[in-house]
Amino acid sequence: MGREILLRPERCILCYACEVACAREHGGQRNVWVVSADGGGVPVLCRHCESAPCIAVCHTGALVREGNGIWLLPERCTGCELCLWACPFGAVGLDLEGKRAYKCDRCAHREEPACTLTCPSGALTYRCVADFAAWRRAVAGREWAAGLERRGL
Amino acid sequence: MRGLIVNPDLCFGCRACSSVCPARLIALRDEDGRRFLRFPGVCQEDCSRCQEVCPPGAITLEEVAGAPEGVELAFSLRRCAACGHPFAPEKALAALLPQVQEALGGGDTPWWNLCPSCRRGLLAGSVAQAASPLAAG
Repeated sequence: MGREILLRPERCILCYACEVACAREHGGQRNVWVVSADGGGVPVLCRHCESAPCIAVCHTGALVREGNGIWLLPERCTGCELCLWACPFGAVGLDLEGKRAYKCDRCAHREEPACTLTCPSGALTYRCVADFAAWRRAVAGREWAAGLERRGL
Repeated sequence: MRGLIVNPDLCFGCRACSSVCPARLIALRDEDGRRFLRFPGVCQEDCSRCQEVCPPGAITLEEVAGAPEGVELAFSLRRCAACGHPFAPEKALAALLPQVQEALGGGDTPWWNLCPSCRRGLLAGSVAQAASPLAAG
């Protein structure tokens, strides 16, 4: 199973380091947006949907599914904007010249995405879903046990 | 003379042709909640990119008699239901919605009338809400 960018939103401290790291890796275009919500932050980025509306509306085959991700082939993209309008999460952008779409590529050119390497609070992680779920369960169990101890139980 | 013929019934106001034209002959501008696309009547460039990439197939390049005049098409832009920002041509959204619904296997699409920025806000709100018990613990 491949690794994915996964969130622990309760840890986001709204520092925007992921946005900066992403922009630096992609020639000034960032593919992640930190959105404040309920007093905290949520990094929003392409979720590489299994049923992907962006692929359904792309007329040039510029968006393709391969492995566990959706990839944008810039040489095929016309910048028509249809995928921007089709994405339920607002996770596709248009470059500053309006010439092509851009979205998270999980930093395919490097071993680990810049955003997950940079995130100082661990809100963004790069793991397999199964590992991530097991780890979340272990942490929740430890915290629950610690809570019992604090209450003297 | 090679004419550039646009079918106004098919064109739905996306950016494809204006974005790919190497000679920048197709002009796009968004103004006061409307999108304007201006096409030349004649194109003598050795290129058919606009015709090739047009999603609804609205552009035809073919030999014509005389020199036809250019045309300008206007499209009403949908305003975001949350922030009011005009973000996409109504006509394009109407054409795309069935494709998007099919891709998602049916169901409601409450985000459809939101601009990309407000869609991110909607997602962030629901993620934060789902994560709030974790933050409290």
